[in-house]
Amino acid sequence: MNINAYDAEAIYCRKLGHHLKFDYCRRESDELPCSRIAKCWAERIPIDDFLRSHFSDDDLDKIFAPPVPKITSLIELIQKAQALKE
Amino acid sequence: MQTKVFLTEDEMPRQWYNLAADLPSPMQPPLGPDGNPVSPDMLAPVFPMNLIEQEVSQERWIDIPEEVLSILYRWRPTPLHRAYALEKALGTPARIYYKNESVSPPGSHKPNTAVAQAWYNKQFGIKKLTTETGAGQWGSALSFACSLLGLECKIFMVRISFDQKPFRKIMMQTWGGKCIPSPSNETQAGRDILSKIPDTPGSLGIAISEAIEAAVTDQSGETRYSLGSVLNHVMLHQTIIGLETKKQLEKINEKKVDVVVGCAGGGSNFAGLAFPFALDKINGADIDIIPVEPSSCPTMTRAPFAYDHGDVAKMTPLLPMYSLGHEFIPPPIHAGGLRYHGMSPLVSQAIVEGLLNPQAIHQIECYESAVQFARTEGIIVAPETSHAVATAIREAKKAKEEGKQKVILFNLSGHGLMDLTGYDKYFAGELTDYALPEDAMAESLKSLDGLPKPPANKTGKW
Repeated sequence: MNINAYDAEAIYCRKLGHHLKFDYCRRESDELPCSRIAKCWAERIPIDDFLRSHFSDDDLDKIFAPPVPKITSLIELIQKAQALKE
Repeated sequence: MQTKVFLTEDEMPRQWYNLAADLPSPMQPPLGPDGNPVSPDMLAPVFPMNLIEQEVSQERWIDIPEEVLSILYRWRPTPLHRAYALEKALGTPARIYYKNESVSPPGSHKPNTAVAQAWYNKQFGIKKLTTETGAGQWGSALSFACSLLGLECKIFMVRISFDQKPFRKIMMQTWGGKCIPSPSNETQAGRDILSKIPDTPGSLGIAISEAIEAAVTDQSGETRYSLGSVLNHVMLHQTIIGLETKKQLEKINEKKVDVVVGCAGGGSNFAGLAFPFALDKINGADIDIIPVEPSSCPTMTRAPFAYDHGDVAKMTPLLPMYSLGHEFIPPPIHAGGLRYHGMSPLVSQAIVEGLLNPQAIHQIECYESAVQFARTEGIIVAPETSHAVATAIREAKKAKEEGKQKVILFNLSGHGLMDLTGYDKYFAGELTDYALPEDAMAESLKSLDGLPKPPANKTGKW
């Protein structure tokens, strides 16, 4: 299965609030797929096969790491930015 | 037959209502990696202390500054509508009311907190606000607010949205906001990504990183960051919606509301309408208060209340809120505003206490209801608002079956004129309903095993 096989397929993105093509979803997170890709595309394409064909187990662990609650992610980002400032 | 109920500017509420003061059971504090509560100073690099004080306040009423009111007058008080045409179409004995927040210049409830946040930042000596945006609803609201208060506003807009969604970008620019495609060369976070992936389309995560970094690293100390949902002070600013509504209902001698409905993503528009009515419920009123979420993304209706780690390594703080397990991946749904993994902690605690009765609803029913609403009341609502419309219609049909003259109130949180693609998909028959199967939910919740469980602080009164 070619990694570009579904790139032209379009879907509404809940995170961004508008329609996008699959080529965005498969590289949304630093060239890895968006964490929502499996559920978003499960009813449209063989997404499990696609993911297993093109990504390692380590990649899949990264992809499906949990979303971070807003306030916790804010604190994390503040600490990172403060480190930069210093 | 009065279709719209107005207030004069003099009749507008002069105080916001803080539910934290009246919750019969105390709020669970957010916890850090060491198990200790997150302290206010941890947020100080991105929020001014006056807003942090509101974030942790236990005061019941907080004065709305006159200068904030003077800006809100541009579109507030918003009208309360009686949905006569919808009632007639449904043949219901219920009286349906909706608070129309779509009349704000940016078209939603978001400016209620954008204006307040911009004003408090200005009082604190802040000259510039940063934020992130996807399609641009929050970015346009904050640009609007900053424009009216003479603050600079920098919005990091996800690159692909910047390229594909020109209209809200133009709104931001028209209000003087500096809308930058993210990733950008203005931050280290942006430069790092661009050096690795020059043609990256960006992501919301990168845009948030850039907005925070831009605020924290600004050497002048005159820049802060602004957030449009989830946090307590955002809920507080939105309570003007429900407080106005109560005055409007009094004006037409509508003495008792039976059902209050709002869609709940991060919780702010729901809280805005519902919290003042939750106070009545705490004081003995019999009101069914319903936050509505998508059936395909059940945060409030099916997940347990637990301390949920934010990451696999379990290094980020623990925050008590209604949350799904780590492995959960939200399915597709056409509701741009309903996208938070976790609900507002205040809303979560009110659910635990039993003050709120969350419901979930499928997207096709939402669009059916939104179309019926548009063809009776005339307003094309935002995709997330359609959840509230659908639930109000459900309740009106139930009242018909029961032969009860219930009073049903919902929040029309925004219009959908910038988000018509979902309607197009609905008319083309391209939408599908999806509900998380029980076994998938059970699998998801396994990840919560072994995490500390907060004490179930509730009085058992409701």
